[in-house]
Amino acid sequence: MYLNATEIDSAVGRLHDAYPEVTELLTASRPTHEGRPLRLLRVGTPHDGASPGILLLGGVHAREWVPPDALVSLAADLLEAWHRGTGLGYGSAVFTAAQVRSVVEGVDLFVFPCVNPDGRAHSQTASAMWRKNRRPAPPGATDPSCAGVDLNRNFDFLWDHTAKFAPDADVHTSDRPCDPQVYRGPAAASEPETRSVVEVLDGRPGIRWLVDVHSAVPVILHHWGSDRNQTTDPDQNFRNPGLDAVRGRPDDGTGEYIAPDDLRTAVDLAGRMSGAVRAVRGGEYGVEPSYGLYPTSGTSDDYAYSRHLSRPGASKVFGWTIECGTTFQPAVEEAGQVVREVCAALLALALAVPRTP
Amino acid sequence: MTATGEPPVPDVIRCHVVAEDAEALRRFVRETRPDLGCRPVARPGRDGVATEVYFRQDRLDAAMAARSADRVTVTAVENVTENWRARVEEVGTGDRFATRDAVPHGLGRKE
Ligand SMILES: [Zn+2]
Repeated sequence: MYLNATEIDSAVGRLHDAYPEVTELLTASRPTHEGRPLRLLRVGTPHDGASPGILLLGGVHAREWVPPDALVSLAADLLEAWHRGTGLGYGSAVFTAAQVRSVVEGVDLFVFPCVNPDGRAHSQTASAMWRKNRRPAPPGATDPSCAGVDLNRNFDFLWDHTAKFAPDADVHTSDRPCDPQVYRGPAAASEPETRSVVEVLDGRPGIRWLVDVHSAVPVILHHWGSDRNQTTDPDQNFRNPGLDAVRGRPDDGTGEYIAPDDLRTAVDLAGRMSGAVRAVRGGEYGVEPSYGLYPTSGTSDDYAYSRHLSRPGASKVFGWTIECGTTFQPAVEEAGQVVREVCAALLALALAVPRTP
Repeated sequence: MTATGEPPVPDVIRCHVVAEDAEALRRFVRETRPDLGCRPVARPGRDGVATEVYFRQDRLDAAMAARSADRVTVTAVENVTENWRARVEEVGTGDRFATRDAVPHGLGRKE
């Protein structure tokens, strides 16, 4: 059975109750528009903040039902296996007891299984294809589509697409509240759910890695989503206003700069995740830059990575989006297989990241 | 009416779209404005560039008849609303973790 929004929050609380010595419960300062708490679980033995941190997000898009279940499953598996001194198996992917120990005792996993619980509740009871959060519609609007903000277009990274992109770049976002899918919100980070993610990144500078788990394609995406990557001209970057009139066009000879070493790291670690997925049951999650058919703005992964470039003193946080499985709402048996793929991928990442932050 | 009092919306159909190149795909999307799913990801395939999009049933015929549709192949893959009606039966009711002794277990084999 899929977890409902209430159960996801309860599951996080129960895991903390059961394993208080290796978990910490974090609650965002603001609840959602419908009053649900936003809670996440840090999994990892207590320490002085010296472990590298990985922030795992799920449920940002309401209709993508599998990722929250996958993250709850991962946290529960790691804690139980660590407690019992066993390894973990997902299909043909096998992790030893020593590897489980290495993750729980050497990494801080910040597991935020459901960033958008209001949306999930709506999608699981009323509206199959609901994607946004449940911000109330503007006064006077009667179309149900006018409620909600696409949280993955609400982060403070090139958020104002009308000012920051070429007019013909067709950025996959919208400034119209009644856009049923990709309304960016009234301001950058306007939403409590978005702010809850920002709070974690602000408050836990040990976090160096972020994986936002979505569905479906499947594919593993790395930066950037705003334009084609280029590794030769550091001046062509998201902070350069001189590019505002041309940013986002597919083949115009300009692109977003990414340092060659960072690109290598992003691709290598994505490759580790992809390999772990394959080990489960042979599935192929390719590795690609986020910029696909169109540019995106305001996404969590690009925002996380952009912070060290736009805020003095901010940690460098690599970000990926895993688009798991092939459909938003697979039957539970298939959902279970996708959960295993996601768990194996994230464990492989946690094993591969350097132990010194 | 749905449980929340909203008027019913037409079913949504997931479609596989193949175009000879990315520009033909963009032209089709620009004209027909489908829901592009989580991210607008297009993959090179045997017959060109492919992606998955979502159309409301009542707009699918118009999309297939669009001017830009002559350079793409649109195949309806799944009625996602119908699938959802079955999946809703597979969502937990109440709260399976309401009591302190109800600890979640993951799907991994502890071995
Ligand atoms: Zn998504």
